[in-house]
Amino acid sequence: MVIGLVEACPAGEVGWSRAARAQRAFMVPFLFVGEDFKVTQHWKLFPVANPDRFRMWIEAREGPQAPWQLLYRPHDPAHTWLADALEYRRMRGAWNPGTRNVRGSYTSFVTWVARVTFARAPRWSELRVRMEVLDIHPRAADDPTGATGRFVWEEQRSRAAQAASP
Amino acid sequence: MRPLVRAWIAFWDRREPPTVLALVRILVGVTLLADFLGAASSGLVEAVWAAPPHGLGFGALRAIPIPAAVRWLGATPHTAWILWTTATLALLLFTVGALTRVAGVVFVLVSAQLAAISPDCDRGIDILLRVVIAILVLSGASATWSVDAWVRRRIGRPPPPLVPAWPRYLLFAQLVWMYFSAGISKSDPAWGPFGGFSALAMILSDPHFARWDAGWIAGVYPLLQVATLATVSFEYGAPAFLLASALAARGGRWARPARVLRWTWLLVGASFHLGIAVTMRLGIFPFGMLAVWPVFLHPDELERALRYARPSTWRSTSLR
Repeated sequence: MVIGLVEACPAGEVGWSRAARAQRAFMVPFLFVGEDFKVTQHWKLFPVANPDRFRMWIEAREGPQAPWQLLYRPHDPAHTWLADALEYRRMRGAWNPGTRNVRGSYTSFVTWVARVTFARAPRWSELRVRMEVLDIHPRAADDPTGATGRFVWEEQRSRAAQAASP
Repeated sequence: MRPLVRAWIAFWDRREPPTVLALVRILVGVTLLADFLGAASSGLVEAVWAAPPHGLGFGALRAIPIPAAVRWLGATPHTAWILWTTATLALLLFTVGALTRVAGVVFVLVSAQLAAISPDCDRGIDILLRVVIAILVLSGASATWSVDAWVRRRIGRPPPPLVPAWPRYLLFAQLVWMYFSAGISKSDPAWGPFGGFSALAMILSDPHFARWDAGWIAGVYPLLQVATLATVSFEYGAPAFLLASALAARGGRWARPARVLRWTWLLVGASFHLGIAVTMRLGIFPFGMLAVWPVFLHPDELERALRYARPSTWRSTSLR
């Protein structure tokens, strides 16, 4: 209980540098508990709730010169490719960007989507995943999500490259 | 000093019926079982827990040190299946209370390996429920409503009617800290007056989290501002809930206002979780949290609630 309380203390977050150093020193012999059992006492639930959000687009095309076609986008009933799988806990949060960046598993996620798509739909030869930047205005009458048409974190995979990889 | 030490020891040595802990064991087990089976029914066991390129488990290749399960079994999709199967069987046994302690320990160890393999896929609720199961393993959660208890009665060594209460107190403190910690980590002005209490409206307009399209938000915006204030008050009010629960249990002149505060906090909290379950797609989070909530009740309160919920009680009440 004492170890948990000390580990839980947000000394670093509130800028108490001496307390944070003492906390780190105290925790050294017990670090294995957190590392081996993957537990912590730092809990966060939507600490940031600003208007800067993202919406994932999954697109595919038939060849290098063909136009991209939308396969999946959240809240788009016309484009629901792999929706059942993708929406299971947002694949346990793996494809959902954090406040500042995509998560470490994002590239593995794109590779997985491409593998499944190429296996199930032979017509597609290239696939890309990207995040549309949103500027949310909840009270806006036309589009509260504030879609900007600007994209970040684009990752692309091709059938040929995947076939060549081990 | 000595009376204080005696009171401290007496507090942690209290005994109570095992019903609350058994109920938490069952509810947490069912929630996690539904989650693990849901992953399998969506065809995602390899996708979530296998090493790339088969899945998102980059920890199998990049973690330092490499997770033990990967060192022993290899960075293959088979490892994901072996771990998933072991975790699911352990959960099943834990839920029905068969070899409860062994099953709980196995689940905690395997779940930690899955977390090491796929660190991004291990969310706060997974960590919390791992902690809960670890504490339940040390408790008398299998002393009732379990196969273990049934077997013990059959062989003439029935489980004790009272078990140590400290695991329930510890889980109680864990939840209180979790809510308070979530409260103090809310750094965005949107959670307060300087951001117009706009946080929930923002989150419910986010297509990755919202259950529905954002068109309905504008119509209920003031209500969502109130809900944002209620959410922050609920989280910051967790220590007050702890104090109110202690005062209500002790009796005396503060017991009545403490009871009011306690039930108000519980009502706001239940609305918070049910609101999340209805309007957002946060997976097992609201259900996993509510599964642990029985620890806020004394076993006597649970007994009264169960008695009231029985159909025979309803019939006799309606005849009066």
